[in-house]
Amino acid sequence: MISWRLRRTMVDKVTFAAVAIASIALLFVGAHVILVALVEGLPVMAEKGLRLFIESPGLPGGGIGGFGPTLIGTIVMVLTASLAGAAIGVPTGILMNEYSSWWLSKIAREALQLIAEIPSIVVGLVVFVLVVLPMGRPSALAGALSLCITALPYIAAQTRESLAAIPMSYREAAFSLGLPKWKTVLRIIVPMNLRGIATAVLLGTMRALGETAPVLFTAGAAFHAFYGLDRPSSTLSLLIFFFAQTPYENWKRLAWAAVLQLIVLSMVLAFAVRKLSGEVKL
Amino acid sequence: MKVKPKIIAVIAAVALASAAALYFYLSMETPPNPVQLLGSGATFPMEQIQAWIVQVRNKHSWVQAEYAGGGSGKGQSDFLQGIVDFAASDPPLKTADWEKAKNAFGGVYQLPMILGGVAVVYNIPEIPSDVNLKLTGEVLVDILLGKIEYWNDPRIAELNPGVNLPRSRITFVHRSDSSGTTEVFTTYLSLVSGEWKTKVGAGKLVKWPLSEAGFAVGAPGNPGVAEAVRTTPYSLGYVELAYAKGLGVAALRNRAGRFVLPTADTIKAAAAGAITIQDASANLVELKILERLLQSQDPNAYPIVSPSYLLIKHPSAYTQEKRKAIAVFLDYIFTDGQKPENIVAGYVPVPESWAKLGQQVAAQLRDFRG
Amino acid sequence: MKLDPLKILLSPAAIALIIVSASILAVLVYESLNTWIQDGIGFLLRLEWSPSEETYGTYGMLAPFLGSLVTAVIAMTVAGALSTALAVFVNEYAPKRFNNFISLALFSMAALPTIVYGMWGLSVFAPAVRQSGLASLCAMGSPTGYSVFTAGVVVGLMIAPFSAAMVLEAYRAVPFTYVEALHSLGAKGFERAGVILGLIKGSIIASALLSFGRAIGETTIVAMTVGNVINLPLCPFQPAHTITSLIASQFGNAYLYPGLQSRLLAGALVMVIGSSVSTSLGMWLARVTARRLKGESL
Repeated sequence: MISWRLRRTMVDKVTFAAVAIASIALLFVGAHVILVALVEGLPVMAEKGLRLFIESPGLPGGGIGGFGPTLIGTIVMVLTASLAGAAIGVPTGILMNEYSSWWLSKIAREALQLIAEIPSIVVGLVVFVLVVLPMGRPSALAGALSLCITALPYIAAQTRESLAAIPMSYREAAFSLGLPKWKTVLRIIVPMNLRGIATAVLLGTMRALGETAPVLFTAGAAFHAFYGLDRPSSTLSLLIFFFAQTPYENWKRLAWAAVLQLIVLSMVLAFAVRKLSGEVKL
Repeated sequence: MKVKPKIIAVIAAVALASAAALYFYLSMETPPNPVQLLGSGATFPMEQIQAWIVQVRNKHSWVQAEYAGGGSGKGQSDFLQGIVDFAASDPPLKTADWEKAKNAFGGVYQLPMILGGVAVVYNIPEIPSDVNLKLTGEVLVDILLGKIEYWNDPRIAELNPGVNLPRSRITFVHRSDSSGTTEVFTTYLSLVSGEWKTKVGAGKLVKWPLSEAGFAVGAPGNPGVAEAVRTTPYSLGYVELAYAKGLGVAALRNRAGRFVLPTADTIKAAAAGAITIQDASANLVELKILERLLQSQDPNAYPIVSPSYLLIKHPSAYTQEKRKAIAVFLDYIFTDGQKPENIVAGYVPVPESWAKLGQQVAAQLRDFRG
Repeated sequence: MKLDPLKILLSPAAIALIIVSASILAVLVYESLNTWIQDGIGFLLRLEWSPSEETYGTYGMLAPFLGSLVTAVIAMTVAGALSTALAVFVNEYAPKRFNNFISLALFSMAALPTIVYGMWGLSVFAPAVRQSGLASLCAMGSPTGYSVFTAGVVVGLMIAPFSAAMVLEAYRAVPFTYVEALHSLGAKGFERAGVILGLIKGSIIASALLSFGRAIGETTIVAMTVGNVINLPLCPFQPAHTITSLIASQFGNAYLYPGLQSRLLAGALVMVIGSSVSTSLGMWLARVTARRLKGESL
């Protein structure tokens, strides 16, 4: 009997040790990823100060320079992507929730599911074929379009979910007042849920900000200046991807500063989302 | 009484400042509207192109070029698909692609802009940095065919008496993208060995025997290969000389039987045999420029030397403003850009006749009336 | 039928979305048509990779295809194991006051862009794998630290927070009566976990399928850590290519090689299908499990 109890206790202890180590390992990796970025990125930020956000990258093996033009490119592309994503995703989300059995909603749901499952690099390839080739050059616009497509599923799905969470009683109250459905939705349900919609758009923005693969073949790789929406541009993630894999100390250090910058921007968005809507699945 | 001098000082300062501003404004020519030029392609000349772009920007701020790299294959691909204004490639366009480009743009100029050497680089911690490993083309081929597997192989040791060679497996780092540097390197290997020529051959993408055996990794671009060699003990790779900084560089036996390191002088020695190009819009493949450079008999010549080409469309394929900007860009590259003070370490200016060729094309672009 | 003004207002957006997804499919199918007509799925089963600028070349994608599968399986295993362990730890062993901290940490990890994990893999994890000497376990182990294993683990760590959120949710959805009964029987932590994990097996598999779908399409991390050679990944510490890393390194120059572009897009289409199937299966399983759990509690 005692040995049986002992065995149980021991197995329990071993299980505890195993799951604790695994959990701590996972959280440690998360902390380490951020820590390394801080250790590598902070000195660069301290050294360059504000010039980091204005200058363009130095020559290979030369000075660090900065990621000014790339930061502008990132902001322009991500904002364009999230605005366009909101313009398409929010109404689609509303439609899918309010008319869930209508044929158009059903098709839209399938379409959305498909886009959500398409690897983001593939989105980039398609935009390359449909936009970059006809335009005759990669551009911030093509990059923004790719990012918009990757952000769309998040925006639409989150919009729909937030609407679905509104208690039925509000609709019933509105209907009992004799308001037609479209007025109920536009005047009561949507305004009530602005928070949820804002969350959805922010989530999409966060996704767009973090993606690299969709802009690889669409945005160009112009790091020296921002030339306009219809011209080649670059994003922070693209700069990291290109600069990190070189032997140049100055480019690698710039890439680390960009990593830190990207972490800060993503965290700001993520915690804005959390502030708006509490626990949200990312 | 106390205030007056202050007021006068302020007025004087403002007047002076506005006078200075006015002078500055008047002395400035109104610059043309900024024009963006987008290029991509070879990483072999990339450090030099990046430097030229900055130099051109400092001189003509309205010519804003961007160079994305990506490998010669990407450069040619982007150029043929019409999504860049210029491209760089170490080998000239293949005949079929040259014809495609000619049909698409009404003509294509291929201008050799810079010379460089493909350095065979290694990372062997045991070898001090002031010692250079000596290798021959034949040994290199056998390493890459998998016949020589370890650094202390007798055939390597024989060439390097007194060098402490470790018994470590040789890891090969090659390009993962379609690369002109790879084509230059494999063309050299094909000239050295008939077996290499039949088994592997020369090209921008080849089937590396070592990759199939599991002793190779791929890395993007010249910078990627340099970085992978730098971080991988006992590795061997090939990069343009400019990327060899901080790595072990092998001295290769040239056709005269001497072991030479890639340096500006040994690259120049090989380039002495560079032939004149009559017409940059012709099909350059037929001139076998690279093969001739690789077969240089000069006793001081480094054995793997190649030019890198700028690909430019026929003037009629550009808008007027782009044409002007490219003319300025080219004119700079082939005049001031070839001066020693503007050349990045690891490259060599092109021969006078090639520079002239570039200047002529620049003039054609400038004077073109559509 | 009466026209609903709201429908009219909302439809254009939905139609735009449908057009976008249809054109993605259309482009993929159209651009890869050559491959399907000439070769069917033969290109996926062929090993031979010999690019050519003059002829159509042979682009057998067996090696990168298997590379994708192996990488995704490793990622799925890492994410699945870590998230299950985390769920057990949080619910059975860890003091309740840690809950907030852990959920905050997971949330932050999920918010990190993939390129950040890629950079960590490139400059921290790959060198660690190289120095660990694990590669010597394989006959053809990677000397650089870049390998299928490296890519799979980093992708797995990137996915783990998402997968953990799902498993945690399922764990917490187990009716309280069960948990109460287990406690009153005097079951220890590992016994309670055993019973509950059995109940939510479906959700765990579902989260694994979703992880797989996510991992197979991941490009950035993989391209930075997988080693980029066309190689059958017979051993996890070997360098290889996945379909996504192959696209990232070859699509830029694919136009020069007749046949390559079509093969790459066909590979992309295969990935879309693979990721679709695994994701749909995962979502279906998650729904079924959730429904069954609810049903059982009633």
